[in-house]
Amino acid sequence: MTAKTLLIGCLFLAVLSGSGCRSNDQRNPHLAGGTSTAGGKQVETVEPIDKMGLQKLIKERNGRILFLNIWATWCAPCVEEFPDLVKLSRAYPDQEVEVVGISADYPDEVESKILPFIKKHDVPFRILVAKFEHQEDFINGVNPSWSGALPATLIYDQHGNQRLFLVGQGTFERFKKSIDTIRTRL
Amino acid sequence: MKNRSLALLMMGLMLSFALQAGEAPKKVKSFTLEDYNGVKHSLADYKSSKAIVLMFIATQCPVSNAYNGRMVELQKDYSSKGVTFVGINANKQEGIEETKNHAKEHGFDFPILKDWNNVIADQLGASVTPEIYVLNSNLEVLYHGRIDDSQREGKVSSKDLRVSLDKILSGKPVETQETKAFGCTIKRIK
Repeated sequence: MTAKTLLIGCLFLAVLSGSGCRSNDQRNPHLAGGTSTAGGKQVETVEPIDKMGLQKLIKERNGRILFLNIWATWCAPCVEEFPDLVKLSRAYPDQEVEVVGISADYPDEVESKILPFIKKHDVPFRILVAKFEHQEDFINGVNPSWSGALPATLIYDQHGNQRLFLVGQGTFERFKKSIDTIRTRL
Repeated sequence: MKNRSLALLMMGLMLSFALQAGEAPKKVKSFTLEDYNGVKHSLADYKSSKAIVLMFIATQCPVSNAYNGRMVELQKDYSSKGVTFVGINANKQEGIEETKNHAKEHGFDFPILKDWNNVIADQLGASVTPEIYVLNSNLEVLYHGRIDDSQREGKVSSKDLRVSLDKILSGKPVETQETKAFGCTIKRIK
């Protein structure tokens, strides 16, 4: 690699590890979902989340670990993975680990696709739907190194630091191990 | 799974860095695969083309299927200008008959090669469908990424593949050589 490539790589890593902007916009749509933590019950609403909402979700941890899964109803491995996510969300107290799913379906597909999926899988954790002007903005907003392949899972510690970024289907055991590693370092 | 994902991520990053840094484009090794009729196709066969468009596609992926009509239109618009289109199906669960029927149903007038062992998907680092690689006659990657920026045709604001092909055909450098393809993960063999 040339020095120029290395420089771009370093900048890229700096972006990955940098702290995002904090929004004070109380009207941000993700806040509407901020109090809708399912607490073990099946969720009944799906709020949109935009760029600012995503940054706020990651950074405002309030001492909780964030398990963030990006999925879509049309994504076969996402659908296969979902029972493990449901199991995972029930394995930890809500005040310790916040499990959130962001659907890459369209916001106008909440009623037709996302809610029926939630009902079918008895999803007990918060589900949001990505609302970005361009799909590349969503991809880069989640992680600049992400190709966009689904599913993608990110785990952030209670300080909002990314501790896992997995592209592709994971398992309950794999995710639990990552979360437990973070918990033991509290 | 982990090692494969990491390897793919590294390949993608290296390609991305190389393109961003203005370095020599990645060169693809020629390969030979059979289409759904058992006919062998080699990349080297297309070296007289002004551009070769490799399209990783699927039969079952709703995102890839949303682009079926656009792929037909692209081929119609650019094949007469010397551009060769080649579909590649690297999904392990989508067989020959299914691929053949899907192509007929949607009027694909380009060969679709079956990458059973993911050799080509791995060589290129392709991860989703649809995902595009545009090569020149030296088999160098001039563009990699999406067809356009929305699976909903009415919402498209950036026709990235068409823009790249127009640049190549007019002898100009492709300005945006890398975009992010969004779609269904290619179901690889273990």
